[in-house]
Amino acid sequence: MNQKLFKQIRAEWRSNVWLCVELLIVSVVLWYIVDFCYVIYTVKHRPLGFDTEHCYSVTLATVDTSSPEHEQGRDNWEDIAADRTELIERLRRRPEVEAAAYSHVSHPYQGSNSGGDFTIDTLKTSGYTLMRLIQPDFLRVFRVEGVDGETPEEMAQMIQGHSALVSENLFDYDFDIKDMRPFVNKGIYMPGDTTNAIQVRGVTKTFRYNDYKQGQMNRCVFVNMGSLEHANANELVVRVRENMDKDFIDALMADAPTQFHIGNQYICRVQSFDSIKDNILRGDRRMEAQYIIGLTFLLINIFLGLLGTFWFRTQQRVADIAVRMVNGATRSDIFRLLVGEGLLLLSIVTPIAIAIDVNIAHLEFTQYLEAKGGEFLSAGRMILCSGIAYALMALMIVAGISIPARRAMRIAPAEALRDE
Amino acid sequence: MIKQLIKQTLAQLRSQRMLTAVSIIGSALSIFLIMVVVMLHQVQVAPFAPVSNRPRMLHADWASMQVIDAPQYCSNGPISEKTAKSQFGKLTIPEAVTICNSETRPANLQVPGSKSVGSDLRGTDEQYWTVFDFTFIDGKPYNKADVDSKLHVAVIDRSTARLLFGTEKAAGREFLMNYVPYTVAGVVRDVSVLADGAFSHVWVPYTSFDQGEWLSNLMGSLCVTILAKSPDDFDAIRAEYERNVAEYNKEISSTGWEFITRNRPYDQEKNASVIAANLEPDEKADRRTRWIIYAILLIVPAINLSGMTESRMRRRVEELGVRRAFGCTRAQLLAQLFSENLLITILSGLIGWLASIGFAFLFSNFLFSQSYNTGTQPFIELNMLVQPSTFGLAILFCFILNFLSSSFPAWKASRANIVNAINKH
Repeated sequence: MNQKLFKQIRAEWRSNVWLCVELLIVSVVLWYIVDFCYVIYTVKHRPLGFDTEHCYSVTLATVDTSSPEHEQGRDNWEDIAADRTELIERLRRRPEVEAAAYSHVSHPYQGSNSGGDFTIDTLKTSGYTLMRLIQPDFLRVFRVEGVDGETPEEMAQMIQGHSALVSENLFDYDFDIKDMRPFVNKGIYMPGDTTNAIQVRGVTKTFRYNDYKQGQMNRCVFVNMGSLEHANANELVVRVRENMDKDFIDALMADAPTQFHIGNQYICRVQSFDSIKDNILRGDRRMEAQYIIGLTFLLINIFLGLLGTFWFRTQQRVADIAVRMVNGATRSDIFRLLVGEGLLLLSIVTPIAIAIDVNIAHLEFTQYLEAKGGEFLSAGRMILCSGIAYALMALMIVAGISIPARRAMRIAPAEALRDE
Repeated sequence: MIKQLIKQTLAQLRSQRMLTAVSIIGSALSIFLIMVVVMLHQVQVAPFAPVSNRPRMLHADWASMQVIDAPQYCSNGPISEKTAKSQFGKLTIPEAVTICNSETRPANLQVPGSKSVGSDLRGTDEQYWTVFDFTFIDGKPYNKADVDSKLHVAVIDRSTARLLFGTEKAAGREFLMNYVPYTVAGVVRDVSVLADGAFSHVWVPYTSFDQGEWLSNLMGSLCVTILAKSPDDFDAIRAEYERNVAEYNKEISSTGWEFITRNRPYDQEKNASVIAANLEPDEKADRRTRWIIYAILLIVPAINLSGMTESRMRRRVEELGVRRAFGCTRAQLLAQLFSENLLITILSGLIGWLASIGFAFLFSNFLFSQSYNTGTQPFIELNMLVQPSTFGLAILFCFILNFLSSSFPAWKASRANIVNAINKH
């Protein structure tokens, strides 16, 4: 059977060379895209370490001095802190609010970062580590859990007073330390500080930067911001109870002028984390969508190319097929012969394609993936992705050839051989 | 001649329906995808209201400073009023120079007694309304006297006017912005976030609220857009700007800082490639990436199509042989096969181009959205997508695709031996 196929391929070698070149180019491009999608998929499905569903960001502002509503003499830090404390207390009293907290450049999904390098004992992180300056309830708002399964409420209890929590991967990148628990109850030094240590009270699960980001930006240190008077809190985050999360923004904005305008502090606007997340991730999502469109495009192209080539080929081979049928070949034999030819061509090309793929990955032109056993090239990833690429191509080959093959099967031998 | 060609082509198409359908779909798909990629880039650089003057615009969204004695310390970002006026206000060559907020900021709007709404605000000067061509539905923009006297007047867009007042005829009405009373001077048509510097919902004189300045009042929250009389003036404007910066650096030397220009201001294409304020954009690398994508999108279907064209040719070997026998030259034959294919490609190119416009409309949300914006969805209008240059590019890509896919099979077909051809070998 295979010998027959090889003979058949050799007889049509001119157009088969074309087909092989196309299959080769497409194999490589297709593998590249599959590999790209694999990386995105893998990263996207790792746990985030936080939950922004039913969460809102409340933007506060200060009444300008040029406003008739401006209250003279309430712009000192003590008054602002008192007014903002009253404001968040009123928010917490709303029945639909589950938790609310002030924080500083800390909530997930933003373009701004605050941080530096932290030191515990003699170990100092390098690169950049995010600092999340928070009130304890921040952990309840985003449902941050402890590494031993502690609930957000327990974590919020841990970070009361002058204390800090570290993420489980804090020393992973620099020192390959996977377990941060031995560092609990030790002092951690803030970036640029060598005198005042803050006590580490617990270890949180990895709190990622966002759904797509890999690397050091996924580690962080939570620090209790302490009194509002000394803290420069620029965020107010709120979690709304699941069963009461309906028209929260409209309801709050309706009450804002009367209930949430305290001293010179007022609610400027409210945004849901769904929309904040959409905005921040849009660039990454667009990239993802573009690659998937590219993938579809290539698949349709292979399908059309094979359809066209084999359409003509079976038309030319009418006599050949008829002779086979006269000599006892069944319809499914004919079908298998034609499809087998396409698949054999693909199989001939695949080793060459994989050799090219391995080289591309070796040169690190592929996407970086934080993983054991190779960030750019690993056996498992190569086998999986080239396997998927091969399967997709094979699928298109079967689809592209089966239409003309079906026509070929229906030939009446006597009709086809009339000329002979 | 052309009539003959069209007749022949149509006859060809009819005799090989399947192959024709496949090649038309194949090349339409290719042109479709290329045009989507082209459009993604075009919305960033092509002119449409209110940025109809993009080809004549130069942008200085951010500026860069370094410490004179320690150049490794630098600061990059929007600038203060003083810096903007000294470096750009004195320019003599351009038609107009506008100073405005580099980014919109959150604003709370309220008609006294009703609920408040969150919105976006941009402070500008009066030249803003010359550089960008907004369409006024009601009222008019504020002028130089208003800006100089820090008047609380505002231009708002149509949807904000409807939201606040229930009507778009809102000129003269009053509202509170961040608890400060403002009067509506004019109402404009809504602006897409794709119009970068022109986007906002509310515009007010930048002098009317506190801008916030830092680093010895050298940096702030403002940026500059320049409208040149013609793109030929760009180099002269940049030279004049360099001179202004050198002069300004002498003036501010006591602060210990000096401005560096990073070859600003940038034209529209270069500005679209800006990633961060502290890096000069590499618009050439971006252009290279785009052409590599075009190449892949053209080569894969071209190989595909040439396989099919070859199939079609082989069915016609006899016909071609007969024509050669009756004295048709190879060149004539080649020209005919080539133009026949060109006709098919242009037909499919047209289909692909129209499909890409439809697609862009349907999926404008994720295709054109920009990250880190204020939360407003971009909207797309026909005039952003249907540009003469886009159509020109579509035709050009059709031609390249046709050339790649049909020249080799056509050349081979025209070279076949006459006797063999007629003999069906």
